[in-house]
Amino acid sequence: MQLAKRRIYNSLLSLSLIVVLLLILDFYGTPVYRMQVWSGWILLSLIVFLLLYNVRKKLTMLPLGRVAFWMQCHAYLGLVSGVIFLQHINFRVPSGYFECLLALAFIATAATGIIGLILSRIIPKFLTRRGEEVIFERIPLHTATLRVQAQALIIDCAETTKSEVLFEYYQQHLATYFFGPQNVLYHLSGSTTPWHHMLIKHQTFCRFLSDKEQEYADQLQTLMKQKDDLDFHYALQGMLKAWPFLHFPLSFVLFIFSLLHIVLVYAFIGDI
Amino acid sequence: MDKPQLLQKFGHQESPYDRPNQKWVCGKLSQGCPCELGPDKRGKCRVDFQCKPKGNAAGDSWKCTRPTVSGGLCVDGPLPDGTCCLPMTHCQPVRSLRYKRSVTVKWACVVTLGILIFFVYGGNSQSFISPGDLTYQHAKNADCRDCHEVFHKGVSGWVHQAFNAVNILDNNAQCLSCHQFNENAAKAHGLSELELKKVAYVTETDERMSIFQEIACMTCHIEHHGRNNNLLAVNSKNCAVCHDLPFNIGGKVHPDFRHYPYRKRTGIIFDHNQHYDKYFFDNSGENLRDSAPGSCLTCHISDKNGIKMDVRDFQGSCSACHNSSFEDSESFAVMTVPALNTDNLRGPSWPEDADAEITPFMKLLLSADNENLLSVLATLESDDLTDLEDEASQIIAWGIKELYYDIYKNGKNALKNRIVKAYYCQLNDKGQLIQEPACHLTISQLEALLSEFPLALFCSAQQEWFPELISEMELYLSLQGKKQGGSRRQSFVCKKINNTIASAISEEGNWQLDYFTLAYRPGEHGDDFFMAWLGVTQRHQGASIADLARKEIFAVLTSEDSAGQCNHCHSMDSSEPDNYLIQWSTAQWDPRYKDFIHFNHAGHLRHQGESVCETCHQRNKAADYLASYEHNNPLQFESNFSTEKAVCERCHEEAMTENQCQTCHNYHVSGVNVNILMNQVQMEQGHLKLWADKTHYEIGDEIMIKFSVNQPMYVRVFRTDSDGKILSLFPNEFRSDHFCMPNVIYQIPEAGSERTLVISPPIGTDKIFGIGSEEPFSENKLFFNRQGGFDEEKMAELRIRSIFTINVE
Repeated sequence: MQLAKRRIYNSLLSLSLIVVLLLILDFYGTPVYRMQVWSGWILLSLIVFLLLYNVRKKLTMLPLGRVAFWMQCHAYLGLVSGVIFLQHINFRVPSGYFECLLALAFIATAATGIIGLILSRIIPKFLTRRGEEVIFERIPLHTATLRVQAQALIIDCAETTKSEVLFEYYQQHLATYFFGPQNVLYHLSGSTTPWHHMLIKHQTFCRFLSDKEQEYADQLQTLMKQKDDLDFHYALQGMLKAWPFLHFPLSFVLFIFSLLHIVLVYAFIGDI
Repeated sequence: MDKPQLLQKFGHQESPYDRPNQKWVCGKLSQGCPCELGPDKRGKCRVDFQCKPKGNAAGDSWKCTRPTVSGGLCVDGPLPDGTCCLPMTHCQPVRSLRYKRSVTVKWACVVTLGILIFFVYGGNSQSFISPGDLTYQHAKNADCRDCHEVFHKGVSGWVHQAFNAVNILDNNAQCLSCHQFNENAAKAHGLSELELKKVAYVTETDERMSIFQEIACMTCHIEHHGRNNNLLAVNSKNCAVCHDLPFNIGGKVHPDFRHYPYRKRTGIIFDHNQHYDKYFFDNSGENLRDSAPGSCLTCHISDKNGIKMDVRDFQGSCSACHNSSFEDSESFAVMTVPALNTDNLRGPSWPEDADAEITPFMKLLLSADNENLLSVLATLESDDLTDLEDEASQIIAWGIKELYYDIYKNGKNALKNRIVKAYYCQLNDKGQLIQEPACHLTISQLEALLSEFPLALFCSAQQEWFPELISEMELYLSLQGKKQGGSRRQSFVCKKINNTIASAISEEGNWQLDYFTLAYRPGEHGDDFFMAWLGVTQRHQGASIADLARKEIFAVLTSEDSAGQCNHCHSMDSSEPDNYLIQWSTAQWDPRYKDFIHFNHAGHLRHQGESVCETCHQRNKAADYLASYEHNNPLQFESNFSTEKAVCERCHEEAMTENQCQTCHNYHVSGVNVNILMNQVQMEQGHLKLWADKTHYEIGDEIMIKFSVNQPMYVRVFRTDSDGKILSLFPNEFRSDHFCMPNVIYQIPEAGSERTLVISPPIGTDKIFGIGSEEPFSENKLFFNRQGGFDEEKMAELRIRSIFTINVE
């Protein structure tokens, strides 16, 4: 199914589910019919299902449906759970420390999830537009490769041209650059300012080089660009890898809070 | 610029496969030379050489096996012993990203559990798990266990409770310890199943919700929503469970009025249409007579609570036109000397010119006599005794004489004994009525019957009717073997009375002596004699002589041409034969009981004037009102008026469409005061304690109010009664300074003072308010709302309060 059609279809389906659930809760929407308890159990069921997505990804050997399908369910049911959550808290700010914590946990989990969803839809487009496709975990390896290539280039230049200009330039300005990821925040913000500064500096420097040195300088610039692209990929892919570090723990924290919440509700309110 | 070489190769020969579930990766990755094998699952580097040489079968020839991605076969090849010639230093393995994430999750869970354990088991668990502030009325209950008994059981107890069904009444018990209801507190509306069934016909109940299901208090009264939360503001959707379709999309949801406000016919027969059209007003609207009422409020007045509209009493509403009907009423016989055929009457002397008939009153009194007399009475076909056989005449004559002798001797006690016996009752040793299920008489009824008997007139009449009654009866009774009781004639009641009367009397109050008839004529509305006898005879089921006598008395008093014509205006309700209930008054509303609907007539009249009566109560000119009284079923009727929902919707549309049920409807209608009742009423709010010695008082009782403070402050104490009148109790004329010190118990009235504080009318619920402030404040700073409570908006500064209620009966 085409992406747009799929989104429209899934959105309509989610909206329908929201409407049906809200109508059911409103239909029986009175404490006499335990509306809050019903909405709570629906919410917990949704949370558990959302947590199962992680389990599904690990149980690849079982015929549980495509992970992509589960991802779609996770995303849209996450949105549904947000609406049910608002209904559950009666669209008001909770009072009480624990309930506030619980609500904050849900909101944080949902927010990180939504942010992650947006990032996972936006960032890949940026990544494909620039540089080559690299595996995030191999970036240190590629950085080392570039560093080795740059160092070899500089040494070869020094041996060939008998000049240490490029060597000193490298030592002063580029040794740190080729050592590890640079300008992460600039890349995240989409800014190319550091690269332009570096390029201007490099081109300014190259005016004072000989023709032979110029050739090495051009190759060095290629490596610099490659390194910049690699840093770009590192920053954006790092963002894609980083948001689960918030979303996953928060979702488990939310689940633990929910369990305590259930115990407290049934212990103190009982059979309404 | 040269085209850059691709860094990332994806071919299986060029690029090793990184398994995503690896926990550890080689530490030399960042140096650009990771090993092929990678760390073990414990994060330990396991690579010593760049390859593991492969030997031949003999083990004397070895080959390098370094993969292409790592550089391919080495130049030197393995050592002779099969060891790789290129050793590698161990790396410091690094956690994979996925593993780092997993560790983060585990730590987050551990920290979360730690935090929860710390707070839940810690000293502040109460404030941690509390879902919000309590209302200020409950805020004094600082401990959760005051309402939630499970709290003291700890976390394990909570878990156990959570997985076990809770008896709903257990949840209510804590609420009911202060808010005392009847035994049906958990039932809908606080009514029993029988009571609910009676009223259920007026509502459209939801089948899904059994109206007999028990409900917890907290279902509707939700706490923990903040200090200023209004516990009385109940979600109207709760009402919709039983009373309306819970699913409403727009439109008007309030059902049409049925059986409202008229649930049964009026007790007093008053045809408004007839009176309006024939007796009050002519066609032009002018009064036909001076005595005609000028408006509805001439006859109707709001009750003391302003809620219901009462009808003024007879004097205030009907007497202007109807008083004369009593002045012209005729008398009827109560006690007589009936005519007997004296030709062959042997034994008792009997006046030959006696011409009366036996009355049903006499039959009732005679029914307490012997079997012979009862059998004679049973055979009577009419009240004319002249056709009786000799023996029957003799028996009845002696019976009547014995009755009169009994009265002559014992006065009203004789009547009392006979009436008690006729109603299947008994007297104790002190002569007091014993109330038993079989006894159809009440103490007050008996007193009313006896008080109306004209003993003096009877005694005087007796001398004329049977001058020799005493001697004759004494002889007769001695021959019959009946004991005389040992009393002397001089102690006979009538003897004493006659001795005080100078001459014979022929009248006593409304009683008249007409030859051999002692007759009664009602003189005014509300005649006590009529009301007393109608009260004791309206129920006359049974076939005994006494029962038939009661029936006859009832028939006499309620006949079309009866003297009082009570039933001309006072209807009689009956659900079974020979069992009536006369409606003496208009509908009386017990202020202890709330109606399902609270409509404040006084308030509406104030706002809209007298003309609003006919706006809501629209005259139904086509109603056949009087036909409603041709039978005895009060539920089948046509009212003079009709009330439609549209009239209320003009002003209350929002309430009726937005399901704001509490605007007009009450939930707790059971007959118990729902205010807080506490033994040794002590409430502490802020720093002021205010209490009295009990919660129920009768008018005239003395009350002692006490209060104390725990820090110096200025105090004022007020009382508001059920009329809304406010009376200042403290400070007062005996103590004008309202500054109070701690560790002192102040009394109103002051200790040692001769002054007393006495409970005064009206009956109902009074509230005693205590207000405290660190600054002196005048009465002008106090504001009350219509319900008799504080106006919270205007009194936000005066937060030190204490309130308790007392019932005045």
